[in-house]
Amino acid sequence: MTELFISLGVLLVLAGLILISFKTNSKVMTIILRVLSIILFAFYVYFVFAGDFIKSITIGVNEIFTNAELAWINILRWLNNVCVLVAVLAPWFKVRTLNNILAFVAPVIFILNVVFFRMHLEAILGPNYSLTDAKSILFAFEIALLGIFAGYYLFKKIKERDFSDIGKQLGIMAGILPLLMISVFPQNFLFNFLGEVGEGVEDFTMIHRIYIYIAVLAPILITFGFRKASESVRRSVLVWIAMAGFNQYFFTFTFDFSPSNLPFHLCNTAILLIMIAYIFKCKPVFYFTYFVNVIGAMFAILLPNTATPMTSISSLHFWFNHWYAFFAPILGITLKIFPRPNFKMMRGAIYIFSIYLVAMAVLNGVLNGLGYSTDYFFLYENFIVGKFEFLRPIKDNFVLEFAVGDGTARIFWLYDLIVWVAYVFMMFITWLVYSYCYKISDHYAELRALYKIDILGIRQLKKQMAGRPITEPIYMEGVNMIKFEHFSKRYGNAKNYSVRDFNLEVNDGEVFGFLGHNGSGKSTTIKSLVGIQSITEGRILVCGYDIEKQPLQAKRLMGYVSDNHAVYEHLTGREYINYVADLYEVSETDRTARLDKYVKMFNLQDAIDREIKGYSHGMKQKVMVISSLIHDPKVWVLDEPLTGLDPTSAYQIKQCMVEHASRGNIVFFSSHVIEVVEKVCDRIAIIKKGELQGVYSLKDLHEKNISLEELYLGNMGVETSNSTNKEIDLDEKSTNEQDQSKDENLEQNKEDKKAEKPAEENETGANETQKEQAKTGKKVKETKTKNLIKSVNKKSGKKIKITKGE
Amino acid sequence: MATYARMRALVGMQLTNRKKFKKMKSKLHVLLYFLLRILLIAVITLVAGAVMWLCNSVFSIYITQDLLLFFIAFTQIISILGYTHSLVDNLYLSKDNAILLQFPARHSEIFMSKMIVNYIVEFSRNLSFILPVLIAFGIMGVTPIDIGYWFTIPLLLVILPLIPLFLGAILSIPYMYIRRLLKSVPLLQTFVGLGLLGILVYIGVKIIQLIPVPLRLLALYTSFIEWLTGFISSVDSYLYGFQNIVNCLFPNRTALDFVITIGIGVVIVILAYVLAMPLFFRIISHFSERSVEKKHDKVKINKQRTVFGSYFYKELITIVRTPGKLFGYLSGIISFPFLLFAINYIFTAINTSSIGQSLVIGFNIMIGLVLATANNSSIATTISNEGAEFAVLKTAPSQTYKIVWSKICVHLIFSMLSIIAGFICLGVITDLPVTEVFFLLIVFVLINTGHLLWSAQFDLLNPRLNDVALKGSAYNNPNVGKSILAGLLTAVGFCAFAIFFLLDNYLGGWIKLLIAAAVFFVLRLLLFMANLKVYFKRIEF
Repeated sequence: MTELFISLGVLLVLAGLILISFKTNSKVMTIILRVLSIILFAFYVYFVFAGDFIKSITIGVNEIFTNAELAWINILRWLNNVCVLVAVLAPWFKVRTLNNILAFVAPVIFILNVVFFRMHLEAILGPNYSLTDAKSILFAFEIALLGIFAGYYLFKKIKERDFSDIGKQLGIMAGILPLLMISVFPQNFLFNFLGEVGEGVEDFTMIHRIYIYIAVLAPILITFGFRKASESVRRSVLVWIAMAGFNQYFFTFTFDFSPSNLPFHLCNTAILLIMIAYIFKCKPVFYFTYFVNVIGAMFAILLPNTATPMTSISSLHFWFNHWYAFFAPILGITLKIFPRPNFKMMRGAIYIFSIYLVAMAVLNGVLNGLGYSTDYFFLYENFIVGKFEFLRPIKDNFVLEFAVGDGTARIFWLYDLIVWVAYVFMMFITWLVYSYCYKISDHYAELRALYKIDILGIRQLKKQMAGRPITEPIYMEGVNMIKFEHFSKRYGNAKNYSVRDFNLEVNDGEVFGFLGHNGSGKSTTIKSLVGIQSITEGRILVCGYDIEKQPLQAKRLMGYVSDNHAVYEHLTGREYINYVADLYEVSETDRTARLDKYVKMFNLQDAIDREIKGYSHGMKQKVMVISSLIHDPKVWVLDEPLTGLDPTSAYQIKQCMVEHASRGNIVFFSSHVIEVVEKVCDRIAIIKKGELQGVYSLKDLHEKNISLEELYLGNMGVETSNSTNKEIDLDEKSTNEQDQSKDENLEQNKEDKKAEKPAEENETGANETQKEQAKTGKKVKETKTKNLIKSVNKKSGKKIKITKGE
Repeated sequence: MATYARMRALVGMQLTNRKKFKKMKSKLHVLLYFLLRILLIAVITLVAGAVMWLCNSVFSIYITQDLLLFFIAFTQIISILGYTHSLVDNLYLSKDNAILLQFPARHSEIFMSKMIVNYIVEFSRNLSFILPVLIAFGIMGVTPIDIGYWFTIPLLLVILPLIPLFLGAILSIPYMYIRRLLKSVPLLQTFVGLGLLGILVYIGVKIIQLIPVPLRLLALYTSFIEWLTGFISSVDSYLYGFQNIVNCLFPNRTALDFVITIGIGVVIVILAYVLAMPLFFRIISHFSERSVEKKHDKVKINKQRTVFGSYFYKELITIVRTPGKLFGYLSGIISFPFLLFAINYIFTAINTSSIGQSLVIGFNIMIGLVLATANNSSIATTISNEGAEFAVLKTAPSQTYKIVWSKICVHLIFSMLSIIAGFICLGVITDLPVTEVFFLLIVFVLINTGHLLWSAQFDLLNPRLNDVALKGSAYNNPNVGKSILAGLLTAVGFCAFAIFFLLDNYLGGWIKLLIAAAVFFVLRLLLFMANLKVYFKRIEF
């Protein structure tokens, strides 16, 4: 009859809910379900504390259930608990699997609960149960509420026809359900069937080690399982763990609370605090558990203060409590619900811990003075002192005593202070460990991301090659040139670009000079061209090969002389050149022929077999030049090759450059020395503050009787006495096509630059000159010169008269 | 007056250049700085007091005037040696000489200004070390003192820094010539170093063999303390000068003690001024750091090698031609077996139970690995050491990451030689069965190689190419510290594993230990390979 009433009641309420769901919007339904879930949780909490009769029986001394019945009712009550907690959770989070459990599993459990209602009551109240007992009535309400949730979620599923990927949904549900069950494993289960058997879990025995492994592996597996899930799912996981922890901790509690068994031990408070932290997303409480409770639980797991048999309820109670206290806070960070802590959070945790410790010291003192036996946080009895004997005299000799009731309250103040210091110290150690773990985690996340980028790059290249081998040039039209396409470079997190939107083409047979002041971006451009530095935007093509996507092919065609004369000092010149030749896979015959040629050319016969550390600056430079030419590169790149060289060495290198270009190769070099550039180059480019100012043909400049020095200084914004009354006639051929679009942007860029003052702070020599000019009133002239250059570039091909003072 | 003003300017400028003596921003900073210094002195005094209390009451080593004399003389001799070495770079070959000599000041003024700066540094150091010890002695010492003790401390603080500094300035002149001679003949430098190390090892072996077998530590302790007390007394009897300095502190002091103490300070300063100062300008003017060119006649052929072969050859030849590196590697081959010999001689001298056997293996792993992994720290600067030469690797059209493997291989060869030599020594000296020595060798090789890869990974992820390119060395490279710390933690961890596993089940413990070492090695290898693949090509400078 009772079962019939429950069923009818459920059907009535369910029908009402379904009717409401037709009429009202989903928000109202959510509120109704949330209210019901709170009521259901209240029932659940009541039954956690109610103390089931089944917890005290074992097979041998059990007269109520047969073995099969005992197993059945255990499993049914276990599944009932899982479904009730899922029902509590489901209205608060958008998690499909929870809804599916309520739609597919909960109806079955509800029906079984109704069918085996009396067996449930026997398990709760024992053989003398009564239908009119408060627990019986409340249990009826609990299963009725579960029935309402089950019916509603099943109806919702049908109403929304959410069966498109039902196989997958059921599969996920089948995977998750056992995990949920394990998390609320009934602690009486083993005891019911085995009694108290097995040794105490301690002293790093095999079973103790397995329990330690569980503590370590569980958070790792949960993190990997849910790290990519939605925030709602991740939060629901944490709240579930908090509720499971609550269930497991209070499993042995009953309503007969006394001052001696309040949940004030550190790991006991953790269970309540974790719930508060996760349900209300309360940061201070969370960081307290994160820094304080985890350490306490870790020590408890490593050095358990329980020696009860493995299958006993108290043993399982101890382990579940400490497992949750250990890894539940860690999961808050690893599942990214709470941000990683900073010192402020650590400080907050220390404050709360300090208050907690003082409160426990006083509470222990007062309660023991009043005759209760309490040892919260092990501050009163000798548990810690037993392990660290040197603390005993400190504890016994520094005591604060005061009368309380008929007794005396004792506070071991110095001992408590030492415990505080030691614990705070451990908190900092924990913080270091956490920080190290974050660092490792971040690093490997970055590693994975970069690895994916590399793989994607190769795939993209293959796609771009459209069936051609990736060893062929990506840009077939440019096999005889260097091409910069909208190249930009920015270092690290710097706000400003070192080089910005740089476009240039250099053709074969050319000696190309690259001019600019210190810090203008010459070396940056060259370093990106030869592959030393990455490219922020745009691309650089070397004889049709993309330097970033096809680095090996592009580098094989280049020879590079750096500006720092860096050579392995302990090698001889010959060894060094052979070393470079090996990297370029030059055959013995070729390298011998070239080495002999250049050694003679540079007069290095006597030095080539000596260690480089004894070489002069010029000799080192010559060795670098030889090594860069040992593979006869198509493109020869030199960064300030003539700096600090004597006239003979400089002449030899210049001759070498001209000779190399005359054989149809490209020579691209940067220099400060305008005379050298003027004599050697076919064309030049001028760069200023990372922006290309113009590309000029030396032949045209000569024909028009324009000195390169004046042009350069004009581009740099420096007025010279010779720049007056000269005519500049530059036709289209003197500049590259891309310069026109570049120049149109130049004015805008210069306007931008005004706003980007910090960029100017990077400039060195040229900037200082400008500053000095500004001081001496030359700013006006400088602006005018700039305008002149702009107009030269804009109206190239037309005669423009530049007159001093205009 | 002008001299004083110039000296003040010179000293002030040099002090400001030192990080420790940077000008304070405000009075609050000054106050805070002094408060922290006082706190530091108080803490060191407490520690020194605690150590003295332990010596007096627990170890039966009584803190007497004799011990204080021995301590002060010992610390001063160490300081003299330290200054003899450091003043070569700091005084004669210092880079700031070129700047200082440009100033309109006399050479003697520049010399004295540098000495004053060094004196202030030493004085400051003594405030943090000698002063706390003297205060602690005044409280905890066994020898009775009077009020004069406290008044004499400031005198000692003034006089003591003069001794190592000015004596070091004199001794550093011949030392500098010897150093330059050795530098000009690199192999001689290596062999002299190895010879000195050999002598040290020989002395070490002889001392260890003095340990009685079986070793009973408690019985030995009493006779050791008696021997130590006698040794200190006999050494003290030769410490002329220092005896008078220390005597000034105690009630048996005489006026002569004060005269000699002050006299020592004055004489040493005058001597340094007379001997070192005239040479100062001559040395800095004549010594250039140009190295002697060395011709290698044998290598005149142009030979093609594989990329890896070329890297390997380059690494090997660089080590052979760099005395410091070669000495480092060769000394590892000598010192590692000696260390294993020393600890195992002591272990075998002690009667050990089966538990003791596990502890012996655990401690062998820990101590041996601490030394072996410390040697690996050089690989933690392996990429950084390329400096500006890294440009060659970045521009080469080959799998340039192979250079890291070549460096690891070269290091591994020396490291393996060292470990194998050590284990041959262990096999001879210890009672452990040959199979266990062999297992231990495998464990060692796996962990050491794992750590080697780990160290290389530190540098791969944080290369300091610019530091080396600008300064010429990877000095203060944080990767070295990381490598040493990782080695220490690995050593301690595997020591704990070994004891834990072997105590649980001796045979099974060995298998677990081997598996743990293999897992460590494989993990480090895989992580290193993954990092190398992704990060090497992204290194920029």
